Amino acid sequence: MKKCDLCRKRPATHKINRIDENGQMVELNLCEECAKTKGIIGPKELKTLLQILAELKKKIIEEDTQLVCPKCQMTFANFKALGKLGCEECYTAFQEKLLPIIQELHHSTHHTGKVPKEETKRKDLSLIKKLRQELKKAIEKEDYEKAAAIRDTLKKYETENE
Amino acid sequence: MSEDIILKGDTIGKWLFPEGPNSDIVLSSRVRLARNIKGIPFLTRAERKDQEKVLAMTKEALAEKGLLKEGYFRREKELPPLKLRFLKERHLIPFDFTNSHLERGIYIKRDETESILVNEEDHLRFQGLSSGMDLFSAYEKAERLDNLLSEVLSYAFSPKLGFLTICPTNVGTGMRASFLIHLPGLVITQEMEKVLRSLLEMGLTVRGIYGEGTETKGNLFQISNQITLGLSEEEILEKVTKIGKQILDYEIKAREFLLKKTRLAIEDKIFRSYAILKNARLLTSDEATNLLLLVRLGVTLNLIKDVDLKKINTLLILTRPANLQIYYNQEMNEKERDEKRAALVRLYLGNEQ
Repeated sequence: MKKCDLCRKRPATHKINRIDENGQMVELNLCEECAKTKGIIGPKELKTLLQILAELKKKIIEEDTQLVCPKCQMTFANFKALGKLGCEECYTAFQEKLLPIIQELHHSTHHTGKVPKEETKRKDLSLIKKLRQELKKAIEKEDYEKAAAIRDTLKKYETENE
Repeated sequence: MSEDIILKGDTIGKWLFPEGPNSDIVLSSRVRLARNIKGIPFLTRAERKDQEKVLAMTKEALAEKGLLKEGYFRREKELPPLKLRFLKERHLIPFDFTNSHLERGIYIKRDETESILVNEEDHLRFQGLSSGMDLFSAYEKAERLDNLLSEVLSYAFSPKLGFLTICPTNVGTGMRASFLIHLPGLVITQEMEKVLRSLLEMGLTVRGIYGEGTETKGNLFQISNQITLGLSEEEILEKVTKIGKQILDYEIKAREFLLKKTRLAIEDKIFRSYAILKNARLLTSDEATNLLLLVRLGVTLNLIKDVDLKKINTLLILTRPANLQIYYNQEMNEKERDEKRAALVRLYLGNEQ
C-alpha cells in the first residue's frame, strides 16, 4: 500500500486531485490524519444531504423543546405537535416563532376588529394619566393655551369613563 | 325521559323557519365567537379545577345577566347520550363534542338562536343562528352574548393580536361566519368543483353540514371564512355575505338552465321523490334527507305547491335519528326508527292513511 505523501509514514487512504501553483494536475495520496489536518475531508466524512437535513431537524426540535412558556410550561415543540397553545402567555413567549405562522395563516399580524369594553377603558385610563402629566407640565411652563386644549381633551375622556 | 330535559322535540329552532333573506336556498347563517377567560390556562393546560372555575364563572355570569331566564344551562355530564345527539343534529353543539374528559357545559336560548359552549375547545364559544343568508343578524346574536358576559368576565386579549384563542387559526376576532346552502343546481350541472376551487382561492372553506370533517349530504354545503385576523368583524361578514350572494346567483342560474334544458327529467325526479315520501312505509335517515331535499328543490322551483318550506325544514331535523326518538319520546332501534320516520313524514305531508 502507498504511504502518505505528507507524513510518509501512515498508509494513504485518500486519493486527491489538486491543481498546483503551475496549473498542473497533481495526484496526492494522503492518510486519514493528514487529510484531516489539511482540511481535506475524505469521502467517509462527506455528509449526505439527508444527514445534514436530519441534523438541522434535530437542532430545530432541540430549540423548540427549549422554548418554554414561563406561565404554563408548554414548549413550542408541544404546540407544533398539537396545533394548540397552552395559555394566553404562550403568544408572548413564542412570539418570535409564532408570528410567522400567524402571518402565513391570516396574511396579517394585526387585529383590527372588536376590542372588549374593558380594554378600551384601560387604554383611555392610561391616556388620561398621560394627559394629566402633560397638563401639569404645561401649567408649570405657563403655556396656558396648551393647558386649555389638554383640559378639553381630558374632560371628554373623563366623562366617557364615568 | 324526565320533564327537565332541554327542549322538547316537536318544534324546530326559530332559525330554521324559512323567514330570512334567500331562505329558499340558504337554510341558515351562523356566527361563532371564540373567547378565553383571562388568567386561566387554555384547555390544553387547564386542570380540572380550572375547568370547574370556567363553568362556575360562566354560570354565575349567565345568572347575573338574566340569561338563565331566557334559556337553559346544563353540564354535558347531566345530559344522556341521546339528548347530546339530539343537540348535535340541531346544530347546537358540534358533532365531535363527545367522549371528552373535559368538564363541559352548554347554554341554549329557548328559541335555539343563541347558544354558548363552555370548555369545548376555547373556554367560551358564543353562537348566533339566523334563518337564510343573514350573517349580520347571526353576528348580532352572538355579539349580544359576548357583550353581556364581558361585563362580568375578563377575556384573554392582546391589543396587537386581538382575542387570544387556543388555536392560532382563530386568533384576532375569534370569529367564524358560515352559511348552510343547498346547491343541487351547481352539483347537477357539474359546476360545483369550479365553485369550490374559487372559494378556496378567496380564503373561504367548505365543509359538510355537521362541521369539520363531516361529509356533505344531499348537496348541502357549509361555507365559512378562514381568516380571523387583520380584518374587522364587519369586513369578514361583508366578505362572506358578498361571496355567498354570488354563489346564490350561480345556483339560481344553474337551476334556470336545468329547467330549460331538462325540465321533464327534473320534474320526474322531484315528483317521484315526493311520491315516495308520501307513501313509503320504511325510510332510512339518509334516504329521507335526500328525498326531502329534492322535494325542497321542487317547492322552491314552484313545481310542488301543496307543501311549504317550513314543513320540509322541520322534517329535515325531526327525521334525524335522535330527534325522531325524542319526538316520539321513546328509544328505538334502527328498524323501529325507519318505520316511525316514514309515518312521521306521511303525517307531515298530509297523506296519513
